[in-house]
Amino acid sequence: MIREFFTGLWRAKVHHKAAESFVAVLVGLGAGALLMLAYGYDAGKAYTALFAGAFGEPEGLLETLAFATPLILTALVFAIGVRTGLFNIGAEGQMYVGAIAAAYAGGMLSMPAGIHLIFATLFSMVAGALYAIPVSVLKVYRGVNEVVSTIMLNWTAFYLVQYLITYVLADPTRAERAIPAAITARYATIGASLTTVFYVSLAAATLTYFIMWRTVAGYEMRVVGYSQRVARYAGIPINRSITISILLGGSLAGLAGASQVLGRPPHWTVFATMGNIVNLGFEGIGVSLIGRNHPAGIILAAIFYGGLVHGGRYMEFAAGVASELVRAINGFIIIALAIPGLFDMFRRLLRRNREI
Amino acid sequence: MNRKGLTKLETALAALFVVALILAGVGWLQPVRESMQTITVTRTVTAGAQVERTITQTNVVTSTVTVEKPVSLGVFKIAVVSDIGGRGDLSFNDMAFKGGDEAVKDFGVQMVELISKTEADYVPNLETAAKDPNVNLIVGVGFLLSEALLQVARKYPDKNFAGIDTFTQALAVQQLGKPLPNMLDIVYEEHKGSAMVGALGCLVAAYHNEHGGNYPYIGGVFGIEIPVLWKFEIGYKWGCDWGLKWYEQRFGKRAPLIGEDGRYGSGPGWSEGLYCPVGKGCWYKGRVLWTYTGTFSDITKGYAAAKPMYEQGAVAVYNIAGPLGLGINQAVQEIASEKKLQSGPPYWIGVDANQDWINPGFIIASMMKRVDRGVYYATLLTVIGKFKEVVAEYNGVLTLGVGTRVGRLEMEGISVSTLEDLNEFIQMGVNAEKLTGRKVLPMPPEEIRKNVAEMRNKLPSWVWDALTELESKIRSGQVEVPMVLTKDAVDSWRELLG
Amino acid sequence: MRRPGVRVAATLSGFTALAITLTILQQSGLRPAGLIETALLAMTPLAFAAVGETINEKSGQINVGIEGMFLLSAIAGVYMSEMVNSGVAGLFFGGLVGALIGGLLGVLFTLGKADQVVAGLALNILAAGLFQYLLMAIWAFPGIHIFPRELVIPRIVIPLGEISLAVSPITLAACASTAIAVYLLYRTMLGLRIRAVGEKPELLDVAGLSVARTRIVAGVLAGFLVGLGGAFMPLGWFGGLVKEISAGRGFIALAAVVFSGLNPVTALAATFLFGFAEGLAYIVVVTPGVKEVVPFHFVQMIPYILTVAVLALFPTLRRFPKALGKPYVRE
Repeated sequence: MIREFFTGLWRAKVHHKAAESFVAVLVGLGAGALLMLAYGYDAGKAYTALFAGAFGEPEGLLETLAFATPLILTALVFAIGVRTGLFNIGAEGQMYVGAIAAAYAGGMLSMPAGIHLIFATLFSMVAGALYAIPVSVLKVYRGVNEVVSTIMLNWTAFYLVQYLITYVLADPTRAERAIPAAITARYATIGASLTTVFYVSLAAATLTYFIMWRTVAGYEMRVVGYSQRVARYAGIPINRSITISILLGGSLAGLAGASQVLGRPPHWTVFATMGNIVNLGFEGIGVSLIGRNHPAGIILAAIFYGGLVHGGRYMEFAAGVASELVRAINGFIIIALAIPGLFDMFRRLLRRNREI
Repeated sequence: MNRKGLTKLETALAALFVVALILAGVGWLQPVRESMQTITVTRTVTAGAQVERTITQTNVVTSTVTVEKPVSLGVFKIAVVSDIGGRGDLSFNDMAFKGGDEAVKDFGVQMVELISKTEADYVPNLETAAKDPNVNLIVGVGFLLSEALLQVARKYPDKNFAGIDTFTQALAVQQLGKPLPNMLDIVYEEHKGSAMVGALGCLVAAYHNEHGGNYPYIGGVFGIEIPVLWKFEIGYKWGCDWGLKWYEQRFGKRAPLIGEDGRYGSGPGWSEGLYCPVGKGCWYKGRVLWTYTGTFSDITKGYAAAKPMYEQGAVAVYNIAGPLGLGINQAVQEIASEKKLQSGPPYWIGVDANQDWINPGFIIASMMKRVDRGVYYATLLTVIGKFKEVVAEYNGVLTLGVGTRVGRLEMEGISVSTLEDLNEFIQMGVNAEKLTGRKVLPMPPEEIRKNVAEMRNKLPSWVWDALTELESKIRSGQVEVPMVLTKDAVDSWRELLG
Repeated sequence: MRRPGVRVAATLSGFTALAITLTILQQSGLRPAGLIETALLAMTPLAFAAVGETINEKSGQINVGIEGMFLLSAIAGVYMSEMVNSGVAGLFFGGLVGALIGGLLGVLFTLGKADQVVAGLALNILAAGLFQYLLMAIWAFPGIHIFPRELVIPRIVIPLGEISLAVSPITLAACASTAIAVYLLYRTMLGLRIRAVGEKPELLDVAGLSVARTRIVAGVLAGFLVGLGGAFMPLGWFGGLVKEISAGRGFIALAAVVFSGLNPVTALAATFLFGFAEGLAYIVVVTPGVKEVVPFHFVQMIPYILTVAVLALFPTLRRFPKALGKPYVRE
């Protein structure tokens, strides 16, 4: 069975795709190194510090995983969309809604220990899915491009959630944030920032894999993603698949929001600036691309990306480099990945040179 | 992947795996490590405590401390963890790093900086700093780091932690029953400084009104409405009231327009422009236009908030939101270019750092919160080994204000910017220019100094006399600026002052 | 079935609502002229970006990286204006940088077959990181940069009866650019090609014209306009550079484009409305009496909700060129 597993991987050209991601990452890191050198920073020292800090020591690794957790989930949202032929970038807004829902359920309600946590988590997943409904309705009944609708709804969610944090769910003693989750609604801590919600995100990734690749509904979604004409010919109800894809994504985004409220010490809440959840949706897109839109790749890519995010502070600490550079590097990597066949171009270039 | 479905075995295994993961996630019962007693903490602020202890063996020369290079410090590092925004906020964070830079210069220590990009970075930054064996002091800048400091300081009991504006010890008492021995909250008496600039603002309005100006108000643009900012708000308004009452006493009449007009209110309690509720004295209510913009970073809100204030006749707007001063400045600039002014009115008032140089001649003064001194002193205490002693003595909370002394050391925390302060900050800009070869300051240093000096000299000496009088009265304890920490207190003062 | 009357009706009702709001403000003592001035300032970068993006989308490309372009052109503009001591030169340079980025995106899209939306989002992330980094690297004064006030492009005061309005010449340029864009798209050969390549790129290919080149040109033009808008924010409005200088305006511009169905004139009107909403939000947040009643968060949502509403209510209007977002591959 193991032999079949690896043969299957080979046939699916996993090594190919992994190499593409690898090349893109190298391009991004290279561009960053060039920037650093251009302004006189020691790129070698900087990168060594980054990777050693993020992956080298156990505590650093735990922090990396903490940063990776929400990225796994938002990346899955995008990946599920891509596999269904959609460009679902609504994770950002749906995650905000999930986070505020978690703050509400975790902070305003009181329940016995284990149940509170489970309820709050499910509550935010449902909230995220609910906020995804307009996207699917607009798409199915009005043919509205989901890129546009999700961008608009993302920003609407931003202001809506900010309003809720500031006026409705504000912490009475601390006006700059929402009510923190009660202790009965918090995930157990593993490291300084990591909690067991990480396991839940892994579970979500696994479930996504099984749904997409081992169930009928998932198969239908993937067929719709391959070609709507083929799907129609096969009698697959396209609108249903699209709806499932978007709603499933919404619930995962909601879970991502919950992970930052119920699963992130020391604050266990959302701030009015929303700084601790903003951009996670967009970065998830990048993670999904690096992970080739597959749950397994996503987990690895999220850990890598989380390492970049966490490792950035070591770069600052050891080599004095501004940690914003890490964001720029990430941007380069994603652009590199946005170009399909980049790796093929490289290979062709190499082959041509070799022939000469 | 030829099959569409799952075999029974696969389904069972999959379900088991997923359930196991989920259980691992939620199934841990929270170990009840912390006893959550709700203790109401009343923070007693003892300003200017006279303690007869020799804290340092060095020569104390007024407020500068000469420290002989300490014996074999080895590699002594301090880490400064900033709040979101890091350097360049022209106030808070910049002041903290400035203090660190000065400590580096004076004590020969090294400083590492960690900038927090989001709230999620607080704990990782503090931990990264604490893990380094050479780092002896970790400073968290900003009250938002309070919880993070609590978590990390507990974990590293042999490292020294300091927080600027934080209330970590209050949290510690709440959650653990007692303060932490290695943590020092450094807080400031912003209400006193705000009172001083409030008086200054209203007196400037009075002066200009004497000469035909139409300035019935002063303004205040605040950031996010948090208890710390209430201190600023009420202090500022109280200061204006004090200033106008001073004017009355000094000149035997009410200040023109701002002191006597009837526009501020009418009805029960009001009499001739003063609000005098039964048994509570008389107050110059409503002279301050104020608003909380809800942000410490969106400068356009500073612009938008200040513009209508100037239109309604505010002579000066107090910036209590760091970088939003730029937005306020923009509003002032528009008016200045429209009316071809070389200097104010209209003015604005800077905060935290000396912001007078940003638009010389248009910024009356800045309410300086010496965050730099806080970092500097924390480093000093660590270097001479007295950090934990001071923590124990002050129950972990050090308040720096006007005229604070710790032992024989003067630790001034609050002041209104002077021309000497201006020079320090000009120097920062000059250094940056030397470093990059590019213009950083809006005009050459001498011009900056000239413009600011001219602006100040144009104002009559009685304005500055009043300010000095207020400062010495605060210092000696003759006047008590209200310090507001609770919603009830805020509401009752707003009732009196507007 | 085209129903252009609907969009006109929507715009007209928008302006009616505007007039009503202004009257209300006048009655409650707030200076509506100030609001208009702020609205015009807020409109300028939006208008440039919206008109530019309209050209871009007509050619079948979509640029969600307008935010990123704003940031980078803002820095570039300030840098150049300090170099040559002229605000206008800086503005122009900002436009050039925008054009360069637009061209690069065009190349990535046509020749590299990159995914446009992803590249745009990546640009946003990239620019955010690069901005902070460049601020520190160029001026050694991180996080913020104030440049000499002589470089700020001054506004002209236009007297209108009793009130006078201070308007920036760049705002007028933005309006002019709309007219130029309309002329370009509907009266020139290039415009025809741009529109064709968005609807049916095969047409151009069959006629022997380069699809890639047309799209790249469209991208360059669009980028230039967006760059002007980005550089305007420090050089014509704020007088300083901070990372929050853009604050989501790139997406509002996108909303305006979608809202107006790729019509440059309607886009201009939409950006004025949105700019007005922005100015209104600011006033709401500071006016005692009003700020407790109207939560300004909801005012800030207006552009986005309006766009969604229009999309939901008027689906039959075919707004987008058919080949939008798809790289052209010769079959």
